[in-house]
Amino acid sequence: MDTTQLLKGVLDVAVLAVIRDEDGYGYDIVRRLRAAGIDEVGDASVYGTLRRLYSAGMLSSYVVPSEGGPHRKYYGINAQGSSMLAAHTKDWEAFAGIMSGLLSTKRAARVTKIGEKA
Amino acid sequence: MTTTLDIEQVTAFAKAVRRSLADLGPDTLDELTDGLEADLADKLADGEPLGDAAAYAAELRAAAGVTPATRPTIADNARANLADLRSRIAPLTSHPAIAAVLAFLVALRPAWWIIRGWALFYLFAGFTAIPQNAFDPWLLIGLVVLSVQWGRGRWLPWTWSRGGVIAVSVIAALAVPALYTAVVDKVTFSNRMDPNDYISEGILLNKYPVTNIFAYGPDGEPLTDVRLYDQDGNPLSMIPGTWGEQSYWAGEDTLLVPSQDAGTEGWNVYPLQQIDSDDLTDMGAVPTWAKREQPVPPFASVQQLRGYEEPAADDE
Repeated sequence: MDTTQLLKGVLDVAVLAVIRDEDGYGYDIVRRLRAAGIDEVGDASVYGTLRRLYSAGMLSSYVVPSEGGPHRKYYGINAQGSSMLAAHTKDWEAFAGIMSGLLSTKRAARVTKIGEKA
Repeated sequence: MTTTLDIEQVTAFAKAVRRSLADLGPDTLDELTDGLEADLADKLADGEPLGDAAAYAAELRAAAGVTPATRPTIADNARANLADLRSRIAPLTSHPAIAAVLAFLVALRPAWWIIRGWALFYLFAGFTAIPQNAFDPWLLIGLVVLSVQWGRGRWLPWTWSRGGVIAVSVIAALAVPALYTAVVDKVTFSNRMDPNDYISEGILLNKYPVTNIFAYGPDGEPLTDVRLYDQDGNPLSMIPGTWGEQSYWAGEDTLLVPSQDAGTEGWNVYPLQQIDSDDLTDMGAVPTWAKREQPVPPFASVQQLRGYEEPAADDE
């Protein structure tokens, strides 16, 4: 299944989640998302999301010069980002529970119906 | 490992991305692309191709949810209003009769393109509707071709070209009434200059003005001081409205003057006397001392009328 559409709604939360424990720079965050299994996301989407979260005050950022190469911009989650992540996590768990229930109930209901008719 | 080639590739790609996002303004652009080179270098090092810079920029822009730094322009507002208007009048335009009229008007667009080119010529050529000099025809042709090409959606090299064409069209449309007036003037003026339509004032013979009249008596000898009137009693003057005028140029340094003996109304006293044009004052007036001469008649005498009898010598 194409998860691109699904991903759009949750990329914010996913990005916050992968830097919850450790600050990261742009491509590093892309790598973490991919390692977690979200491999259909483009790096530009991730950078754009980072900028939007930063503008919304969820992230702090700092630049780390690199020897013999271009500097890296690191992002870290701040208090506001953490509380938002916590709220989203709660929402997500509730929503995922509802969806799981809905999807599995449907399947079960159909089986029952057929069983009744049979 | 990062090679020189990679760095060049990354630099060029980042530059192209920044160029695509230039409309966001410098602050947003910096915020969005700071550290981009490092990320791109990592991406290359991971063996991933950089891909298309414009598409990359579009993805970045969409994910960041940024809008151009500038406020909506007048053109944006106009476009939005136009779209709104279109949606409002959509029920009207779907009516068959109105749709037919609109289709007809759309078919006339090429005519507008030509008129627009002509109106631009009118403005550029110094408010003249018709080419005046050797350069004007080329200017007219060039502007008409340009206008038609614009109409066909060609020759619009820049993104703002369409807005420019709209502005030019508005100016051209405003110039159309003046162009129309200029054309009408030109046409009527040309007509006036046509000798066949030219209605001269005064007395005409075969369309040529009569400048003097010579009368001969029944004895065939020239008469002087003959007063002529038409059937309605109007003085038969060579030039109507010449009451008060003092002389009439008759060529060859000669001026015709009315008879002094009829007061100011001497213009119908023939033959008109003449003076030398050098005798005129600087103001164009005929001085009293000017030497008046009887003009030379075309014939010294003409044939006597039949039945004319010499007055008897013994009548005296």
